[in-house]
Amino acid sequence: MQTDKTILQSYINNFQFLERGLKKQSNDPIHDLRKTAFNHLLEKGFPTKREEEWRFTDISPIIQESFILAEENNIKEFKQSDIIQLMFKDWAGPLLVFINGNYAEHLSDINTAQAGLTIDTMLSLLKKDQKSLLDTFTEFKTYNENVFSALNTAFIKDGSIIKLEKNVIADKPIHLLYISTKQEKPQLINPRNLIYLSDNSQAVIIESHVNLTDGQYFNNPVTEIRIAENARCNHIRIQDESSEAFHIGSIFVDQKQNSHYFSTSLMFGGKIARNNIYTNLDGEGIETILNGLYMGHDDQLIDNHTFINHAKPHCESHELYQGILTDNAKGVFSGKIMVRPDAQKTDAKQSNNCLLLSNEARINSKPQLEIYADDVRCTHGATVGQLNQDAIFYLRSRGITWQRAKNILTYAFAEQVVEGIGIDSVRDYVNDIILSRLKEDMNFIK
Amino acid sequence: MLEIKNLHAAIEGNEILKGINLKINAGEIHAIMGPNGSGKSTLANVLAGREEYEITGGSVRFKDNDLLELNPEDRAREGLFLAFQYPVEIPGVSNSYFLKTAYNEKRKYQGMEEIDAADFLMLMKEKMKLIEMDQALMNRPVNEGFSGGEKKRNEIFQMAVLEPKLAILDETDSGLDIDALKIVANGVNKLRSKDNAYIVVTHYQRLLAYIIPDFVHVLYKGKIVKSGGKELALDLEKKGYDWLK
Ligand SMILES: Nc1ncnc2c1ncn2[C@@H]1O[C@H](COP(=O)(O)OP(=O)(O)O)[C@@H](O)[C@H]1O
Ligand SMILES: [Mg+2]
Repeated sequence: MQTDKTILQSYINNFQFLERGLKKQSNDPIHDLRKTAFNHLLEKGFPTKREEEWRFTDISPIIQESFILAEENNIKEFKQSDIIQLMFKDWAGPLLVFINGNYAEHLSDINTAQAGLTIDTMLSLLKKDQKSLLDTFTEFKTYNENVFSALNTAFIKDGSIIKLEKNVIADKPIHLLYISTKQEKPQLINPRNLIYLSDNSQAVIIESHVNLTDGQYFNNPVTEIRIAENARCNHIRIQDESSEAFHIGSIFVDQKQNSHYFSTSLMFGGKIARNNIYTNLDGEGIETILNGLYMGHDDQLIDNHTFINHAKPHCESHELYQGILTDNAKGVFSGKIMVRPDAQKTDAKQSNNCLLLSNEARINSKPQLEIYADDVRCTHGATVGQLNQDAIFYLRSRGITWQRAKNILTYAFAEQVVEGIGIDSVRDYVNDIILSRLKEDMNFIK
Repeated sequence: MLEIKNLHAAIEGNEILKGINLKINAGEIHAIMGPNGSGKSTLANVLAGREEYEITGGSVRFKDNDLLELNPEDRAREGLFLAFQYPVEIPGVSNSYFLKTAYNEKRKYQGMEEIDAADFLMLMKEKMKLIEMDQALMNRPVNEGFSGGEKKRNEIFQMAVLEPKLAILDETDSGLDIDALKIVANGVNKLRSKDNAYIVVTHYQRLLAYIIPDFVHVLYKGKIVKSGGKELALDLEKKGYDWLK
């Protein structure tokens, strides 16, 4: 696990650069958190393939690159018309736009008329009310979980902070839009989101990580979601980074009694892309749904890691991941379900299905059930395969071309996840990506 | 319409069709009968273009084409239709979406514009009436969870929508009760015209009481061993296939 000194040196330089920029603010309490996290990173180093959780995902191309920290250079130059294709159609809800990790106020709209819903940015809150922010952070302690969240914490700069007071139902979905653009030197971007749903509150949050111009960069976002008693969170996450980009996302979810978390994770882009979801079911009567779709082509590597911690009795988790891989793409799925001794009457169901559309495409699929309670129902299933040849022939025998027949079956496979996206404009956006991968247009699904 | 000459076909190195000769003109109905395993479905699948079968000899002309040169979708667009003995279930693809796509592919091939949703709905309604097809089946995934009879009826329904020149019905009668059989046969009789032709594959004569064939052929071990008029079907019913050996 020791990482080469020369590799870490570029991070040390970046950290020193950050500290110089902070000037007086380097005495702020938040900076202690950064320093702790950074020391943690230096101490642990980056993971290697010898570590179980990284066995199939070789990240050496990421750590061998030296990145620079994104600066607040030219955000103002971007007009809404430049980014319109990355927005959802006719969006009426709150929108937070970040370009290369920096908040673009002129493109955003966070003036919500709704009482009990607060939307802010990390940067502004750090200036206004660092203490309340830190209280939330220290409860999370997420930098212990993996070094990439430590990396994120070490370079905390900006991100989205959303808070719902008790009994508040967000009347419109909230869009967090992270856009990357090509820069002279590859950049490291560390968005940090905090989402806090108090008792009985509800929100739909869409987080998208997309690119405007192709190019190399490393996006390393962390999203923390706390869902209090009886609260409900629908979290849709779209990852469509540049084909040269690296993306490692971490989502930490903490759920209390009778709460509901519904995650839809859509992974399309990136040269190496990984998403980690950790959910902690800390209360009874909790429901957790983790759905995912990943589509890899060319020589992409797409990795989905999920961890569901059943800590208390009478909780349910359902997980459905669908993968579509073609060309030389590689997929990794690791789904860990932990059922602690206390968690009697747990109902956990997991399935991961992967379509391999070329001879070269590969998937490593690893379900891991660790069950320490006796009265539980846990099932998992994984399928890997090609399209059904009988079905293709059936479609062709009705005059449908071979290519379209394959697309019809592939789309039907993807749709099992996509149909769960309850917002038309978001579903259209996702369908657009899928259809362009299939070289079809919207007429295909009309 | 269709002319098969000395057709040989094999699967996994086993020759199944061993020299089939058959000529079908527009307006005709041909029945192909024969015991299980004689090669009836193989012939149907070879005509539809199933690639697992290797053509080891002979030729097939369909209208003005060398049929064996066409891929399955172009055979369909030229007007060939196979009602499968075992229709495939396709989860996640609705029956109506599937049929609309198929219908439009054919229209495009014929240089026509795609049909709009409203007109397609009208067409569906008309054809559903003809086959007495349940509306609820249209919005369900293709054949998924359909009963044996519903699957067979769905095949004939597709045929009614796509209006082929030559339809091959592979044991459409099996799995249908007598009422459904009559409805399906009645549909076929309404759809038949002097411009289209049918090959009705069956190993019972039951269906042939409702769809009256012009010719009956007996397929046995990959060869047509006897051909005759509709009375041949009755002979077979009485005497079985043993006397042909
Ligand atoms: N995929 C296959 N692999 C090997 N043998 C096959 C295959 N399909 C059909 N056959 C064989 O071909 C012969 C003819 O089958 P088939 O055409 O289905 O007969 P029928 O429809 O007349 O009952 C049978 O002996 C059958 O076992
Ligand atoms: Mg058969």
